[in-house]
This record gives sequence, C-alpha cells and structure tokens, in this order.
Amino acid sequence: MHNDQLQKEFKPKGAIAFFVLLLILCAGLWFSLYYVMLQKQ
Amino acid sequence: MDKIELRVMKLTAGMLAIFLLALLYASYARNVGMPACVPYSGVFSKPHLQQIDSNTYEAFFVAKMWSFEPSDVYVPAGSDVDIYLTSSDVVHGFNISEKAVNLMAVPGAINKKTVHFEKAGIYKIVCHEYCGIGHHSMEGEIIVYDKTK
Amino acid sequence: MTISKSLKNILLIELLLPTFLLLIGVYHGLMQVIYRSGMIHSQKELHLDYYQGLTLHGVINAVVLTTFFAVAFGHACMSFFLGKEPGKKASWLSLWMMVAGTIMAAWAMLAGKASVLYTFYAPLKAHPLFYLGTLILVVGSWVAFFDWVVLYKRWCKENPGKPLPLAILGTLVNFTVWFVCTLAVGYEIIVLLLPWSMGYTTDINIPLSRMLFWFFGHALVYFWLLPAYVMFYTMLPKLAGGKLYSENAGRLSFFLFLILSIPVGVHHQFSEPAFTPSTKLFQSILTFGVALPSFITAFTLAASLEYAAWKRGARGLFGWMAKLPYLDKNNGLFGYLICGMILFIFGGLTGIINSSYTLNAMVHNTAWMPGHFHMTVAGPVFLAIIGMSMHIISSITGKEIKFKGLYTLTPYLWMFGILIFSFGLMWGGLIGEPRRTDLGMTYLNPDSPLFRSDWVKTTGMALFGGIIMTIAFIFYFTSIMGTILGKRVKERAIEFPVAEPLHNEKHIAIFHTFKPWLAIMAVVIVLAYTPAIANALKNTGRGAPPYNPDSAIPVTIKNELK
Repeated sequence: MHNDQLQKEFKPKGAIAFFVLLLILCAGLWFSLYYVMLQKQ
Repeated sequence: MDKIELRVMKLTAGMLAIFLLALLYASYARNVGMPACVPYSGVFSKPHLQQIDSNTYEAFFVAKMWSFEPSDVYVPAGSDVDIYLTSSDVVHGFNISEKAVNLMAVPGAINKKTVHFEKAGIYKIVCHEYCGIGHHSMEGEIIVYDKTK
Repeated sequence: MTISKSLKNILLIELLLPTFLLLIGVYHGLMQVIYRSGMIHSQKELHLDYYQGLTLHGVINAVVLTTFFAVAFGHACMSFFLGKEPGKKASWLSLWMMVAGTIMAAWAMLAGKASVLYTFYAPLKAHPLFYLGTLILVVGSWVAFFDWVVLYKRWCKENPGKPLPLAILGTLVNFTVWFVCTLAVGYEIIVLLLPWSMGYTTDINIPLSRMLFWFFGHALVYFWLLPAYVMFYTMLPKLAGGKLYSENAGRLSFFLFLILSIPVGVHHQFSEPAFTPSTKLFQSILTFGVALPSFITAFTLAASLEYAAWKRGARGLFGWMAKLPYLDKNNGLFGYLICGMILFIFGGLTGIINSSYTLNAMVHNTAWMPGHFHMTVAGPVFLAIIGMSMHIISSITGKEIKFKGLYTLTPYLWMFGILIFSFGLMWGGLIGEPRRTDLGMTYLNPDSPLFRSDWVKTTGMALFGGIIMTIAFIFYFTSIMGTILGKRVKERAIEFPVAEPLHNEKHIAIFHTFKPWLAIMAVVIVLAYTPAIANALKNTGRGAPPYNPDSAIPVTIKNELK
C-alpha cells in the first residue's frame, strides 16, 4: 500500500532538473566550439 | 508518453533548431563555408601557386605519398588564398588547425576552400588521414610574410 | 529459465572468443598511447607495426567484439523474453561463419597484409581475405537474425494482441538497421574492393567507396549502442531497485533509431570533395534528428533512477544521484551500466558537435575524434558488453562471479581512465593533433624537425588515461578467468533482471507495428542517399588503382606475384 502511494505521488523533479542541466551543458560545449570556429576564420 | 516527456522532446528540438540557425548564420553572414564542390579536371593535378590580383592567390596542392606539393607556399599577410586540393595516389588529409582548414585529398575529386590570412606567421599543414607507412612525416607549410618588412 | 546445452555452448564461445581477442585489442590500445606520447620513437615493437596494431585494435574491439556480443545477447534475449530458443542449425551456422570470417581477417592483419585500418579506405589495398573475412563475419550475424525473425513471427501468432517485449523490439530494430546498412558495405566489398584487390578491375571510384562505407559506418555505431540501450531500458531500472518510468519512450526511441540510423553517414564526409554542401547539410539535419531518441532516453532513465532512489528514501532535486547502489558487490552490473551512461553524456554531446555541419572542420580527423568515440564505443558500449558478458556467463554456467571486488571496481576505474584519456585527446585535437598517426616518430620526437612541444602534455594525458584503462581491463580479465575456472554452485539458466513499467501505459498502436516505420526508413534513406550517390558518380573524374601502404607505386598483379 505504501509503495502504491509512493508510485502515485512520484514526480520526476530531479530528472527534470538533471535534463535542464544536460541541455545547458550541451549548449555550453557546443557554443564554445562555435566560438572557436569564428575565432579561427 | 506523458506531458513531461513531450516537453523534453520539444526542448531538445528547440535547442537543436538554435544550433542549426547559428550554423546558417555563420554560413551566410560570417562566410564560414563547407568545402566547395569543384568538377574534376586534369588542370588540378599540376601543383603551383598563382597570383590573381594584389591580395588573391590560387594554390593548387597535390597530396602524394608522403608530401604535399608545393610543400611550402609564400603569400603576403592580408591575402585570400583559394586552396585547390587533390591527391595523385591514396586519400590524404590537409589540416591547418589555426585556420580551421580541414580538407580531405581524394584521388579523382577536387576539393576547394578559400582562406584569409590576416596575420604573418608559419601555418603548418598536417596530413591527418592515414596514408601508409610515411604518414607521420607528411606535412607542409604556408608562410605568410609581412609586406611592410 | 533453463537453456539447452547447445545454446549454452554457443553463448560461451560467442562471449569468450572476443574476450580472449581483447587481450590483443587492449594491448594495442596501450601501445598506441605509448607510441603517440613519444615514449618510444619507433614504427615497430615486438614485430608489430604501429598501423598494423591500430588495424587490429579497431577491427577486434569495434567489429569482432561488438558483432559477436550483439548476436549472443540477441540469442539470450530471444530465449528469455520470448521463451523460444533460436534454431539449433541456424545458430551454429551463424557462429561458424562468424568464427571463420574472424580467422580469415585476423590472419590477414597479423601477417601484415591488411594494415589499412578498420575503415579500409581505398585506394590503400588489403589482402582479399581481409575483405572477405569481414563480409563472412557480417553474413554470419545475418543468419542469426533471419532465424529470430522466424521466432518473432511464431510468437506473434501464438500471442495475439500481447505487446512485444521491449528488449525484443530493441533487438529486432537493431538487426534490421544492421542488415540494411551492411548491404552497402557488402556491395562495396563484392562489387568494388574484391575484384579490384584481386586484379580483375584496374580502378574504382573512391568517393563512391567512401560513401558506401559510411552508409554502413555510422549505422554501425548504433548497432554497437542499441544492445546497451536494451539493457538501459529493460534492466537498469530493476538493478537500481525501481521501475521503468516510461516504456513507450523506449519504443519511440527504438523506432526513431530505425528510421534515422542510416541516412546520416555523409556527416563523416563533410571535409571531402565530390559531395555538395546541400547534400551535407541535409544529412547534418538528419543527424540532429537521431540525437532526439538519446535525449529522450537520458530523461526517461534519469526519471527511472530517481524513482529507484526515491524508494530508498532520497529526496530533493539531486539527492537521488547519491542514493543508488554504486559499489554493491552483489549488483556489479549496475556499475557497468551507470558508468557507461555517465560517459555517454560526454560522448553524445561531443557527437552533436561533430555532426554540426561547418563545426565539424574544428575536429574532423584530429585526435578529438578518438576522444569522442572512446566515450561512446569504449564507454556505454564496451562497459555494457563486458558487464553483461560476465552476467550471462555466470548464469549459464551456474558459477559464482569470482574476485567480485575487482569486477565491481572495473567500470569506475575504466570511466576515470577514459575521462582523462579522452580529455587529453580532445584538447590535443583542438590544437591540431592528428588521429591515426605514429606521433612518436616525428611530431613527438624532440630530434625531429617536425617536433611539436605543444602536444607533449595532451598526449601525456592520453597515456595516463590509457594506462588506467589497461589496469581496469586486467581487473576484469582476472575476474572473468576466475569465474570460468570456478566450480558450479547453482542451476544453469539464463536470468535477466527485468524492469516493470512504472505506470499502466496507454496502448499506442503505432508503437506496436514495424510496417509504417520500415516504410519511413526506406523513404528517408532514398531521400538522403540519392543526391549523395549522384554527387559521387558525377563529380569523380577518375578511378584509382590499388596501393600497398609501403609504396607510392600502384600495385599491379604482376608486382604482387613476384
């Protein structure tokens, strides 16, 4: 019973936070290479 | 698939769309292009440097086991150089890291990229595709000199 | 569930043969970081040439190990999830073909007659048996796949309306991609390379041969990856003590891989002539598309892990990350999968950079590339393969895993090694260090006029990481040897940890049928590759004769016979 309740209540807030950080990391890495590209022209 | 997962997909697609727009911006507004597609002709298999006008050059490179010809090219600072590249034997690489000139020399096909050399200096060309036992000693130079000196 | 003796033997050979070959593969990995760092300035050590070693490293680790494992894991999944063992004749035929192909290619490589690297870029020529051996290995894996399709059809008939287990969906998608993409490399080998390497034709179209290779070559990386994805979706949540957050996300991801794995190969050819910028841009955009299923997976698995940690009492936004069974000796497989996923964050993100059209010129063919793909193929792929090999071997032989401490520690040490190794390589790549180059001879040799002092620290980092990786492999090897030499203590059976879905999910019809996806797959491949083929045929001016790696004079059959 306790487990069922847990299952219903569960919202993946941590996973959302993780995912947002993942996108930020991705954009950060990508744009730093993009910057290198513009610098090397 | 719940609401959160749909949002995750939209966010990802949005980020990738931004990347694509940034690439198109670089391509059209900042002139960061892909190698151009040049039809094949025997003309490109004779290595030489040719001056077009005061600050434009055409460099015809031929990569071969295990050197570039010409192996050193002299141009004044401020030049635009059209690099044409082919190979007379196997596949070679042609990388000028400082200028992000990253080309493959492929037998039977002609590669082209235009580079602007603003600063004087020695720009090393490194073969970065395995081309046989002498691969690690295959390199060349573009020497950009200062006109005023 | 128990399995027949015949299947047990097949699985043991398919898992252990590449494990032993890994000794050669890993040895040459270590040798390369040593050569590259300039610790030795030679072309040959112990009678093996640098480029020969590099060929062995690539072919054994990236083709032989991965193909054998994918087939073995497929057999195990079919037996366990469908309750049907693969046909005896077909699975033995498949195994013998793969073994025969491997022996042929291995002979050519060890004899020094195929030092052309695993991409076998023409006009460098290898011994015909190298091409033929690779082809027979591939066709052997097809035989297993055809047999599974029969099993799948029979299962569908017996279980109308029942959803196909996710692990089976993933396996079938993977081998469909594999079958289609290997048709291209098969064509390259049979029509272009074999007659040319035997002297029946004088020259071949090089841009076309490269295009055919990458039609296969990029889908190949998903063929490596999807068995790991099957484990991530169907087993990892259970190993963590939770449930799978969304099974439909898994189904969608696998189908997206089905349609987008193949029509992206030209992104390996952005620096090449013959292909027009628009052909390249189109495939660059499609490659962005194939990133989508991996992002979906990242979220769904994070949510599944968070749920597992939540059940263990973790709270807060990031508390769940700390409350997972990381170093649990009786749950070693968890470590292999989680370390693989952590590495794949970096492997995946750098992959997006590589496929980004003009951005590719920063990194193409530099040391950045091996830095990137060691965080994919030597990250989630390799760790899932060795972790799961141990799991299957231990359960089908009924033997307890030996040296559990070493086994549990291996993935963490490996991850640590890879991170240092890849960071060194990627940094080196950005300052111009080329890949696939015996740097110790020239660029990292202080006595050479080509010496590059700026590459000393980056190659040194790669060396340090490579040594750590080698130690991690020795840990693993010790543990697996101990295990197979140990005594049987339990029933022989195949057991997998199976994760249930967290929710009662809506039945979405399109996620339960292959047909529309296969049709889209065909359309997208035609759209992406028609212009590429046209470019390669139109813009190539002359064909190329074959060359041996040691001479600038083309090979003629007369010379060969001398």
